[in-house]
Amino acid sequence: MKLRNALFILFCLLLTACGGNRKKEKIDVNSLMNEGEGSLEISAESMNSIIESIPSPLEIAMVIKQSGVEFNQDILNDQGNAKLYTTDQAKALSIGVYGGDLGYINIYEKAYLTVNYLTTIKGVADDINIGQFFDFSTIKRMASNSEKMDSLIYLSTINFNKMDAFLRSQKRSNLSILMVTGTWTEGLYIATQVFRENNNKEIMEWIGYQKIIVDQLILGLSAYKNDEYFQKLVDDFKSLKNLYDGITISYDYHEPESVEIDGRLVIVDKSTSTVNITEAQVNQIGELVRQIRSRLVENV
Amino acid sequence: MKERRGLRILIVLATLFYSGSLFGQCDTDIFLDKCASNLGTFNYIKSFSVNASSRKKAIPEYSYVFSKGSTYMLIVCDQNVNGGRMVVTLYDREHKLIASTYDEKNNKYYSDLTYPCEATGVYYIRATFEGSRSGCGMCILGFNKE
Repeated sequence: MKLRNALFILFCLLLTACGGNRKKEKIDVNSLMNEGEGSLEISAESMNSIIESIPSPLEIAMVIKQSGVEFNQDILNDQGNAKLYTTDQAKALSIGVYGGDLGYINIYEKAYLTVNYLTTIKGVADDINIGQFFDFSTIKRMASNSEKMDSLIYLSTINFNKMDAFLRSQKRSNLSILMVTGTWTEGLYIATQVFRENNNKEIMEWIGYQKIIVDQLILGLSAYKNDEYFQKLVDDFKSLKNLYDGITISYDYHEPESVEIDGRLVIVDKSTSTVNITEAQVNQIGELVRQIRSRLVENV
Repeated sequence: MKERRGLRILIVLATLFYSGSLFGQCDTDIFLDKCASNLGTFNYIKSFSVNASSRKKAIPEYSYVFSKGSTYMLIVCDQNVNGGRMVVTLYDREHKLIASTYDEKNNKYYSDLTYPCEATGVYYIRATFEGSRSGCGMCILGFNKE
């Protein structure tokens, strides 16, 4: 009888293994804008794809640093705000916001702040049972050695990726999408604040290209918009999308070539993209992002 | 007698599943430790675990928004088994082929590819295994700016 049960369990596992090859759905975010109140159904595969595609906060931080602007600690979300985050949703989103700050801190190699912010992140992450991925003895050892900054950046990124992967493996993608939303919003906030200071063209273009991400995030967040927290976010991002609708991105395609340099494969691609964005549009986006971010970090 | 035959079937089935990917025996953390240093001066962004199985119809595909002005590096990290090498292929936002780590013309495999990006958009990364649809590996993505 026991054996028959065991065979039955194996058969069930086999059935599970055969499933899950659903086709990726293609959803137009513009049609979503006109839809009603209900949540959008998105497969786990598409949700993973949205979450994974959001760019690392290190990228904009590097653009900012290369623009020559000084590090500004006042831009960061205050560590003391961590106590304001009382729900799982707010905690997940704040981990993302602090993660965005961490990218900026790391690129400017402020090791003391890296440890402080990682401590705050771990505290919040513990509350939602994802704090186990932080190895503080290693982090502190690296932070005390300026030559180890690259390793510290690597370790911080790994910690974040592990939290995100764990959440998704636990079918808690709702928190995962909030984390990436927080990270991205903070990156955009920092970029728009810096732009006010230095009017850097590359930062302006980077802000314009975030049109691509707004659409992705609206799709991801819409899957949970039956939840009031998500509904507010979707509304915020739809307002942001309205501003981005006035910005255009165009592409000029050329067939890429592959060349071998010192035994390694390097791609030569002359395809280019152009974003049409004005200073006034950046300022409008900056003001709206400031308002959205303020609501999020103050958790109101 | 019946019991013994059942037991044999059970063992055979368990072995089959264990050797495949059903129980996720593809420990990609090992790959990360082994290959992340190949990024050199590039900053680690993320890694994509590739646990392909012949039972799965779809080819593993991942997406990431590449930014104009950044250079990206994709590292191929696999078990380096002859006849079962992992091949990483990069596509643009319209799924047009950009490059592959397997050069079919010269029958050559590369362990990484470098892509200086001049068009911001969603890029797609696919991983396949030579001669088979099964395999275990990792694709590591890094970036740098001049």
